[in-house]
Amino acid sequence: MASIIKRRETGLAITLISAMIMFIPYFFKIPVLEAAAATATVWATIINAFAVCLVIYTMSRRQYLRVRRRVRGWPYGVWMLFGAWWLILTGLILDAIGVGAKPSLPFKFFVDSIIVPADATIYSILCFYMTSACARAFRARNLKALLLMIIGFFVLMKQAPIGAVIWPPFEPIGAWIGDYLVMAANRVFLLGVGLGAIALCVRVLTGRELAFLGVIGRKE
Amino acid sequence: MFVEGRIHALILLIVATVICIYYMQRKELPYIRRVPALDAIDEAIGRATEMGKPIVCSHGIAVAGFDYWTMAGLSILAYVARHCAKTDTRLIVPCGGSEQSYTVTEVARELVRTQYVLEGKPEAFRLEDMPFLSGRQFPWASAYVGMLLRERPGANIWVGVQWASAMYIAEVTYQVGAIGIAGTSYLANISVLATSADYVMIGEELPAAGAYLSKDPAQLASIRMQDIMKVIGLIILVVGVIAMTMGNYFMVKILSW
Repeated sequence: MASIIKRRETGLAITLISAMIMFIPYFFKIPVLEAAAATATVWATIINAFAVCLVIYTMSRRQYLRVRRRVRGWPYGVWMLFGAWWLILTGLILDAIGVGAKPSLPFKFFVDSIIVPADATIYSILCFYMTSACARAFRARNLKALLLMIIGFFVLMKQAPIGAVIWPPFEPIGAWIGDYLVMAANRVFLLGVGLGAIALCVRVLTGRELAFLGVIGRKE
Repeated sequence: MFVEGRIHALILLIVATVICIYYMQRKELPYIRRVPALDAIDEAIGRATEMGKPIVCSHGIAVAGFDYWTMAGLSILAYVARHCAKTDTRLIVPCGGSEQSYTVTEVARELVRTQYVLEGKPEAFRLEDMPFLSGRQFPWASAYVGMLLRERPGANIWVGVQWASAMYIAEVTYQVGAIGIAGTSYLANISVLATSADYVMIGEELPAAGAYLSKDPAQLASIRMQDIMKVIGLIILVVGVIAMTMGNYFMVKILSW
């Protein structure tokens, strides 16, 4: 049984059937397949939940080994293990056995007072990184860099409130760049993405794309 | 029988499929122009090997699971892993970044393990070097840059789905003196990465990377199909614009089937 499940053909057959279940109801009105597509979506969520368990195992194992071997930065491993298991225990178990409010107070405290502010801090640091990248990029060393600098300047002045005060045309020029130049590039990009998705779909359905099975380059 | 408004899409899909299968079965390989960022991957691996430093390669945060961009990222990861296995260069893959990345992480691990097996060095594969960092974008990015600062890699390749955190990674890559090769699915990020990374894959260069690097006929055929479909799209666009300017709405009707 295990050898049948591990076979490449089994993976491909499951992919083909799942793809057809999702694909056909998009174009044809077949109630049975529409219901099957809805069920398949729920299955995908359940499979993802199994993957979460695997990830918790590998992550805990890795951090445990780091702490045990006392590799550089091992105290962070202790903190990570504590954080992850604290959230699992307080978020899942306390809720499941019905202790206290839902979500449980220790879980809520950890999320609201540690994770959310830390997340926001990291996100805000980006503005400093952007500034240093701009400082390097906006040196007009060639025509392309000059063009980038000019366009960047107009967009910046359009976004900054002071821009329109200094020179009112900054706003319409910046808007024109966004509405026409950027929009045109965006649509070409989206067209390419759509076609690329079709190409990927054809490769998957013909068994020529195997990356999602983890077998690129394998010679059968 | 048919869902209204989707018949034209079905016709275009059938045309695309037929073109793709036709080119897949032809013996002559379609030509793909040289992409500097992809050629730089070989250079980056060589540089890291010579310096005795590791390579960090991310296949992206896989926000939508196995989508078009993530598959492209996995193709590049497989190529890098194969070369790292060949040259005995340590490969570090920071996994995670989104709630959909749990399944992709396991597939990526299997993919990299396969490349080491193919090179006859299964013992060189280290699961510890493919850690799952976080299921959220910024904790993942923080752990990623921490890894860059500690390991000081010779090259950093971050492709696939990369959002705002790509900028963060780009700047730290520059700080540690590694070659930075980036590719992203997020259009607004391309200009940002163009300013901060050494090489950037723009738009479809990233999905074409798998085809370019592997020279796989199926992937090359799908790139050719995309080019042909773009021409068809352009024709529909021009005819539609001219017809509508002249007051004829036949193209709107066709595309509403």
